[in-house]
Amino acid sequence: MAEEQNNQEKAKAPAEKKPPAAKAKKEKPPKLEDKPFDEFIQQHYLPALKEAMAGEGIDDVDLAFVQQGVPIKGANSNELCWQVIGKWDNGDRLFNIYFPDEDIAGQKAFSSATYNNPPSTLESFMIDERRVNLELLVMYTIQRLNAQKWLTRN
Amino acid sequence: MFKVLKQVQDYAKESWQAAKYIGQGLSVTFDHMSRRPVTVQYPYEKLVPSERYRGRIHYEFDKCIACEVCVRVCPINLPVVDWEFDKKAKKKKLNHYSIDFGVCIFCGNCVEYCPTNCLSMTEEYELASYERHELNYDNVALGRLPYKVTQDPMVTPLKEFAYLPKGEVEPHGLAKGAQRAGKRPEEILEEIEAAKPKEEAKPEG
Repeated sequence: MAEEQNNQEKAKAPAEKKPPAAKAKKEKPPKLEDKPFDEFIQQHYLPALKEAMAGEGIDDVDLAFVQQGVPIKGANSNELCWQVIGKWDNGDRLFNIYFPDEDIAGQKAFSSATYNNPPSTLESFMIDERRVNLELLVMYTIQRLNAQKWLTRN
Repeated sequence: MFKVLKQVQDYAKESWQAAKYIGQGLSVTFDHMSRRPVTVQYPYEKLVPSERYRGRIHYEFDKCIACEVCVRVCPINLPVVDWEFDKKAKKKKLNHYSIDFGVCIFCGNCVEYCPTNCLSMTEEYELASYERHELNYDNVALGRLPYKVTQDPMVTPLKEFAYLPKGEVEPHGLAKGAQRAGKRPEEILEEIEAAKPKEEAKPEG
Protein backbone atom coordinates (compact mmCIF):
# COMPACT_ATOMS: atom_id res chain seq x y z
CA MET A 1 0.00 0.00 0.00
CA ALA A 2 2.85 2.29 0.84
CA GLU A 3 4.31 1.71 -2.61
CA GLU A 4 1.06 2.65 -4.27
CA GLN A 5 1.03 5.85 -2.30
CA ASN A 6 4.57 6.54 -3.38
CA ASN A 7 3.66 6.08 -7.03
CA GLN A 8 0.79 8.47 -6.65
CA GLU A 9 3.11 11.06 -5.16
CA LYS A 10 5.56 10.55 -7.99
CA ALA A 11 2.80 11.05 -10.51
CA LYS A 12 1.80 14.29 -8.84
CA ALA A 13 5.30 15.74 -8.63
CA PRO A 14 5.98 16.19 -12.38
CA ALA A 15 2.58 17.76 -12.87
CA GLU A 16 3.46 20.45 -10.33
CA LYS A 17 6.78 21.20 -11.95
CA LYS A 18 5.30 22.00 -15.36
CA PRO A 19 4.73 25.76 -15.15
CA PRO A 20 8.05 27.47 -16.03
CA ALA A 21 7.06 30.68 -14.25
CA ALA A 22 7.46 29.00 -10.89
CA LYS A 23 10.95 27.88 -11.82
CA ALA A 24 12.07 31.36 -12.79
CA LYS A 25 10.81 32.72 -9.50
CA LYS A 26 12.76 30.13 -7.55
CA GLU A 27 16.03 31.10 -9.18
CA LYS A 28 15.85 34.74 -8.11
CA PRO A 29 16.62 34.48 -4.38
CA PRO A 30 20.00 32.88 -3.60
CA LYS A 31 19.76 29.36 -2.32
CA LEU A 32 19.20 29.10 1.41
CA GLU A 33 21.84 26.42 1.70
CA ASP A 34 24.54 28.72 0.30
CA LYS A 35 24.08 31.24 3.09
CA PRO A 36 26.66 31.35 5.87
CA PHE A 37 26.32 28.55 8.40
CA ASP A 38 25.32 30.77 11.36
CA GLU A 39 22.80 32.72 9.34
CA PHE A 40 21.23 29.62 7.86
CA ILE A 41 20.78 27.96 11.24
CA GLN A 42 19.68 31.08 13.13
CA GLN A 43 17.35 32.61 10.57
CA HIS A 44 16.04 29.65 8.65
CA TYR A 45 16.56 26.31 10.35
CA LEU A 46 15.49 27.23 13.90
CA PRO A 47 12.23 29.00 12.91
CA ALA A 48 11.38 26.26 10.43
CA LEU A 49 12.03 23.58 13.01
CA LYS A 50 9.98 25.43 15.62
CA GLU A 51 7.11 25.69 13.20
CA ALA A 52 7.37 22.01 12.28
CA MET A 53 7.39 21.03 15.95
CA ALA A 54 4.37 23.20 16.61
CA GLY A 55 2.74 21.30 13.78
CA GLU A 56 3.46 18.10 15.70
CA GLY A 57 1.80 19.58 18.79
CA ILE A 58 4.87 20.74 20.72
CA ASP A 59 4.56 24.47 21.36
CA ASP A 60 6.94 24.97 24.26
CA VAL A 61 10.11 23.92 22.50
CA ASP A 62 13.12 26.03 23.37
CA LEU A 63 15.70 25.97 20.58
CA ALA A 64 19.20 27.33 20.99
CA PHE A 65 22.20 27.52 18.71
CA VAL A 66 25.38 27.50 20.78
CA GLN A 67 29.02 26.53 20.59
CA GLN A 68 30.02 24.29 23.47
CA GLY A 69 31.60 20.95 24.31
CA VAL A 70 29.87 17.69 23.51
CA PRO A 71 28.15 16.62 26.76
CA ILE A 72 28.83 12.92 26.29
CA LYS A 73 31.08 10.84 28.49
CA GLY A 74 34.40 10.31 26.79
CA ALA A 75 34.20 13.45 24.65
CA ASN A 76 36.65 16.28 25.20
CA SER A 77 34.58 19.06 26.80
CA ASN A 78 37.18 21.69 25.83
CA GLU A 79 36.65 20.90 22.18
CA LEU A 80 33.90 23.29 21.17
CA CYS A 81 31.31 22.22 18.68
CA TRP A 82 28.41 24.13 17.19
CA GLN A 83 25.16 22.52 18.16
CA VAL A 84 21.44 23.06 18.08
CA ILE A 85 19.92 22.28 21.45
CA GLY A 86 16.20 21.68 21.72
CA LYS A 87 14.36 21.41 25.03
CA TRP A 88 10.73 21.09 26.01
CA ASP A 89 8.57 19.89 28.90
CA ASN A 90 10.79 21.91 31.29
CA GLY A 91 13.86 20.14 30.05
CA ASP A 92 12.40 16.66 30.40
CA ARG A 93 13.06 16.21 26.71
CA LEU A 94 16.41 17.29 25.36
CA PHE A 95 18.03 16.78 22.02
CA ASN A 96 21.26 18.04 20.48
CA ILE A 97 22.27 18.17 16.85
CA TYR A 98 26.00 18.64 16.42
CA PHE A 99 27.73 20.29 13.49
CA PRO A 100 31.44 19.63 14.11
CA ASP A 101 32.44 20.89 10.65
CA GLU A 102 30.50 24.18 11.04
CA ASP A 103 28.77 23.33 7.81
CA ILE A 104 25.35 21.85 7.19
CA ALA A 105 26.80 19.64 4.45
CA GLY A 106 29.50 18.30 6.75
CA GLN A 107 29.30 15.64 9.43
CA LYS A 108 26.34 15.78 11.74
CA ALA A 109 25.51 13.95 14.93
CA PHE A 110 22.52 13.58 17.20
CA SER A 111 21.99 12.77 20.84
CA SER A 112 18.95 12.78 23.06
CA ALA A 113 18.23 12.60 26.77
CA THR A 114 15.33 12.79 29.17
CA TYR A 115 14.76 14.21 32.65
CA ASN A 116 17.95 16.29 32.81
CA ASN A 117 20.21 13.30 32.42
CA PRO A 118 23.26 13.61 30.23
CA PRO A 119 22.88 11.93 26.84
CA SER A 120 24.55 8.53 26.70
CA THR A 121 25.15 7.80 23.04
CA LEU A 122 26.23 9.89 20.10
CA GLU A 123 24.44 8.91 16.92
CA SER A 124 25.06 9.81 13.33
CA PHE A 125 22.62 12.22 11.73
CA MET A 126 21.72 12.24 8.03
CA ILE A 127 24.66 9.97 7.35
CA ASP A 128 23.27 8.57 4.09
CA GLU A 129 21.95 11.89 2.78
CA ARG A 130 24.06 13.62 0.14
CA ARG A 131 21.71 16.52 -0.49
CA VAL A 132 21.23 18.95 2.37
CA ASN A 133 18.62 21.68 2.36
CA LEU A 134 16.26 23.27 4.82
CA GLU A 135 13.34 20.93 4.17
CA LEU A 136 15.49 17.83 4.52
CA LEU A 137 17.13 19.06 7.73
CA VAL A 138 13.75 19.79 9.28
CA MET A 139 12.26 16.53 8.01
CA TYR A 140 15.12 14.43 9.37
CA THR A 141 14.99 16.19 12.73
CA ILE A 142 11.27 15.59 13.07
CA GLN A 143 11.74 12.00 11.90
CA ARG A 144 14.44 11.38 14.50
CA LEU A 145 12.39 12.89 17.33
CA ASN A 146 9.39 10.88 16.23
CA ALA A 147 11.54 7.74 16.24
CA GLN A 148 12.35 8.46 19.86
CA LYS A 149 8.55 8.24 20.47
CA TRP A 150 8.58 11.81 21.69
CA LEU A 151 6.02 13.25 19.30
CA THR A 152 3.42 10.51 19.11
CA ARG A 153 2.58 7.50 21.18
CA ASN A 154 3.81 4.15 20.05
CA MET B 1 46.96 -72.33 -4.89
CA PHE B 2 48.33 -68.80 -4.77
CA LYS B 3 44.91 -67.47 -5.70
CA VAL B 4 43.49 -68.78 -2.43
CA LEU B 5 46.32 -67.17 -0.49
CA LYS B 6 45.66 -63.79 -2.14
CA GLN B 7 42.04 -63.95 -1.08
CA VAL B 8 43.07 -64.59 2.49
CA GLN B 9 45.61 -61.81 2.31
CA ASP B 10 43.01 -59.34 1.00
CA TYR B 11 40.53 -60.37 3.64
CA ALA B 12 43.05 -59.80 6.41
CA LYS B 13 44.07 -56.44 4.94
CA GLU B 14 40.52 -55.19 4.63
CA SER B 15 39.66 -56.30 8.16
CA TRP B 16 42.66 -54.42 9.47
CA GLN B 17 41.68 -51.30 7.48
CA ALA B 18 38.08 -51.47 8.70
CA ALA B 19 39.26 -51.77 12.28
CA LYS B 20 41.60 -48.83 11.74
CA TYR B 21 38.88 -46.58 10.34
CA ILE B 22 36.43 -47.50 13.06
CA GLY B 23 39.13 -46.73 15.61
CA GLN B 24 39.85 -43.39 13.96
CA GLY B 25 36.19 -42.49 13.98
CA LEU B 26 35.79 -43.45 17.60
CA SER B 27 38.91 -41.57 18.66
CA VAL B 28 36.80 -38.42 19.05
CA THR B 29 34.45 -40.39 21.26
CA PHE B 30 37.25 -41.92 23.28
CA ASP B 31 38.81 -38.48 23.63
CA HIS B 32 35.88 -37.57 25.89
CA MET B 33 36.92 -40.29 28.35
CA SER B 34 39.80 -38.10 29.52
CA ARG B 35 37.57 -35.05 29.94
CA ARG B 36 35.59 -34.15 33.00
CA PRO B 37 32.32 -32.21 32.66
CA VAL B 38 32.79 -28.45 32.81
CA THR B 39 30.14 -26.54 34.72
CA VAL B 40 29.50 -22.90 33.86
CA GLN B 41 27.92 -21.24 36.90
CA TYR B 42 25.51 -19.42 34.64
CA PRO B 43 24.44 -16.09 36.00
CA TYR B 44 27.91 -15.48 37.43
CA GLU B 45 29.87 -17.06 34.62
CA LYS B 46 28.91 -16.94 30.97
CA LEU B 47 30.42 -18.38 27.83
CA VAL B 48 31.62 -15.85 25.30
CA PRO B 49 29.59 -16.39 22.13
CA SER B 50 31.64 -17.33 19.11
CA GLU B 51 32.35 -14.87 16.32
CA ARG B 52 29.52 -14.59 13.78
CA TYR B 53 27.09 -15.47 16.59
CA ARG B 54 23.60 -14.41 15.61
CA GLY B 55 21.93 -12.78 18.57
CA ARG B 56 19.51 -9.90 18.87
CA ILE B 57 19.55 -7.54 15.92
CA HIS B 58 20.80 -4.00 16.45
CA TYR B 59 19.31 -1.22 14.38
CA GLU B 60 20.63 2.26 13.70
CA PHE B 61 17.71 4.50 12.92
CA ASP B 62 19.65 7.23 11.15
CA LYS B 63 21.09 4.89 8.55
CA CYS B 64 17.78 3.34 7.56
CA ILE B 65 16.44 4.52 4.20
CA ALA B 66 13.12 2.61 4.50
CA CYS B 67 13.88 0.54 1.39
CA GLU B 68 12.12 -2.53 2.85
CA VAL B 69 14.78 -4.93 1.59
CA CYS B 70 14.87 -6.49 5.08
CA VAL B 71 11.16 -7.29 4.74
CA ARG B 72 11.62 -8.87 1.33
CA VAL B 73 14.49 -11.13 2.31
CA CYS B 74 12.89 -12.15 5.60
CA PRO B 75 11.40 -15.68 5.35
CA ILE B 76 8.25 -14.45 7.09
CA ASN B 77 8.33 -10.73 6.17
CA LEU B 78 8.80 -9.88 9.81
CA PRO B 79 10.29 -6.37 10.08
CA VAL B 80 7.65 -3.66 10.15
CA VAL B 81 8.73 -0.57 8.21
CA ASP B 82 6.22 2.20 8.73
CA TRP B 83 7.00 5.08 6.40
CA GLU B 84 5.18 7.74 4.46
CA PHE B 85 6.21 10.01 1.63
CA ASP B 86 7.04 13.51 2.81
CA LYS B 87 5.85 15.83 0.04
CA LYS B 88 7.76 18.87 1.27
CA ALA B 89 11.19 17.26 1.36
CA LYS B 90 10.37 14.72 -1.38
CA LYS B 91 11.73 11.96 0.76
CA LYS B 92 10.50 8.86 2.53
CA LYS B 93 9.82 9.73 6.14
CA LEU B 94 10.36 6.71 8.37
CA ASN B 95 7.94 6.78 11.27
CA HIS B 96 8.53 3.50 13.05
CA TYR B 97 10.50 0.32 12.61
CA SER B 98 10.11 -2.86 14.61
CA ILE B 99 11.12 -6.50 14.70
CA ASP B 100 9.33 -9.07 16.85
CA PHE B 101 12.01 -11.30 18.35
CA GLY B 102 9.37 -13.73 19.53
CA VAL B 103 8.85 -14.64 15.88
CA CYS B 104 12.30 -13.92 14.43
CA ILE B 105 14.33 -17.02 13.60
CA PHE B 106 17.66 -15.13 13.63
CA CYS B 107 18.55 -16.27 10.13
CA GLY B 108 20.41 -13.02 9.53
CA ASN B 109 19.11 -12.41 6.01
CA CYS B 110 18.05 -8.86 6.83
CA VAL B 111 21.49 -8.06 8.22
CA GLU B 112 23.16 -9.53 5.18
CA TYR B 113 21.06 -7.67 2.63
CA CYS B 114 20.64 -4.29 4.33
CA PRO B 115 22.14 -1.86 1.76
CA THR B 116 23.16 0.74 4.33
CA ASN B 117 24.34 -1.65 7.06
CA CYS B 118 21.88 -0.18 9.50
CA LEU B 119 21.10 -3.66 10.82
CA SER B 120 23.72 -5.71 12.59
CA MET B 121 23.91 -8.86 14.69
CA THR B 122 24.85 -8.67 18.35
CA GLU B 123 25.98 -11.25 20.88
CA GLU B 124 22.95 -10.62 23.05
CA TYR B 125 21.00 -13.82 23.59
CA GLU B 126 19.16 -13.29 26.85
CA LEU B 127 15.76 -12.42 25.49
CA ALA B 128 13.49 -13.82 28.18
CA SER B 129 10.33 -11.95 29.06
CA TYR B 130 7.13 -12.59 30.98
CA GLU B 131 4.97 -11.68 28.04
CA ARG B 132 5.56 -12.48 24.38
CA HIS B 133 4.57 -9.02 23.19
CA GLU B 134 7.48 -7.58 25.12
CA LEU B 135 9.72 -9.21 22.54
CA ASN B 136 8.32 -6.95 19.84
CA TYR B 137 11.20 -4.46 19.77
CA ASP B 138 10.57 -1.00 18.38
CA ASN B 139 13.30 1.22 16.96
CA VAL B 140 14.21 2.61 20.38
CA ALA B 141 14.71 -0.87 21.83
CA LEU B 142 16.50 -2.07 18.70
CA GLY B 143 18.84 0.90 18.90
CA ARG B 144 19.96 0.25 22.47
CA LEU B 145 23.56 -0.76 22.81
CA PRO B 146 23.77 -4.54 23.11
CA TYR B 147 24.75 -6.38 26.27
CA LYS B 148 28.12 -8.03 26.09
CA VAL B 149 29.34 -10.82 28.33
CA THR B 150 32.87 -9.41 28.40
CA GLN B 151 31.73 -5.95 29.47
CA ASP B 152 29.60 -7.00 32.43
CA PRO B 153 31.54 -6.46 35.68
CA MET B 154 29.32 -9.00 37.49
CA VAL B 155 30.09 -11.80 35.06
CA THR B 156 33.20 -13.90 34.55
CA PRO B 157 33.45 -14.55 30.83
CA LEU B 158 34.56 -18.07 29.92
CA LYS B 159 35.95 -19.28 26.63
CA GLU B 160 34.13 -21.95 24.69
CA PHE B 161 35.90 -25.26 24.06
CA ALA B 162 36.92 -24.39 20.51
CA TYR B 163 38.64 -21.25 21.77
CA LEU B 164 40.84 -22.99 24.35
CA PRO B 165 44.53 -23.67 23.75
CA LYS B 166 45.48 -27.07 22.37
CA GLY B 167 45.04 -29.86 24.92
CA GLU B 168 43.14 -27.61 27.30
CA VAL B 169 39.67 -28.70 28.38
CA GLU B 170 38.88 -26.49 31.32
CA PRO B 171 38.09 -22.79 30.72
CA HIS B 172 38.37 -21.99 34.44
CA GLY B 173 41.72 -20.71 35.61
CA LEU B 174 43.06 -20.28 32.14
CA ALA B 175 46.37 -18.42 31.90
CA LYS B 176 45.89 -14.78 30.93
CA GLY B 177 46.42 -14.16 27.26
CA ALA B 178 46.14 -17.85 26.37
CA GLN B 179 45.46 -18.21 22.65
CA ARG B 180 43.26 -20.73 20.91
CA ALA B 181 44.84 -23.51 18.89
CA GLY B 182 45.69 -22.58 15.33
CA LYS B 183 46.37 -19.21 13.80
CA ARG B 184 44.43 -16.08 14.55
CA PRO B 185 42.82 -14.22 11.61
CA GLU B 186 45.37 -11.39 11.98
CA GLU B 187 48.21 -13.87 11.70
CA ILE B 188 46.70 -15.45 8.60
CA LEU B 189 46.28 -12.01 7.06
CA GLU B 190 49.88 -11.13 7.89
CA GLU B 191 51.08 -14.31 6.22
CA ILE B 192 48.99 -13.63 3.13
CA GLU B 193 50.33 -10.10 2.89
CA ALA B 194 53.88 -11.30 3.41
CA ALA B 195 53.43 -13.78 0.57
CA LYS B 196 51.87 -11.25 -1.79
CA PRO B 197 54.90 -9.40 -3.24
CA LYS B 198 56.47 -12.72 -4.20
CA GLU B 199 53.41 -13.69 -6.20
CA GLU B 200 53.36 -10.32 -7.93
CA ALA B 201 57.05 -10.51 -8.67
CA LYS B 202 56.75 -13.91 -10.34
CA PRO B 203 54.68 -12.92 -13.39
CA GLU B 204 56.88 -9.88 -13.92
CA GLY B 205 60.07 -11.95 -13.86
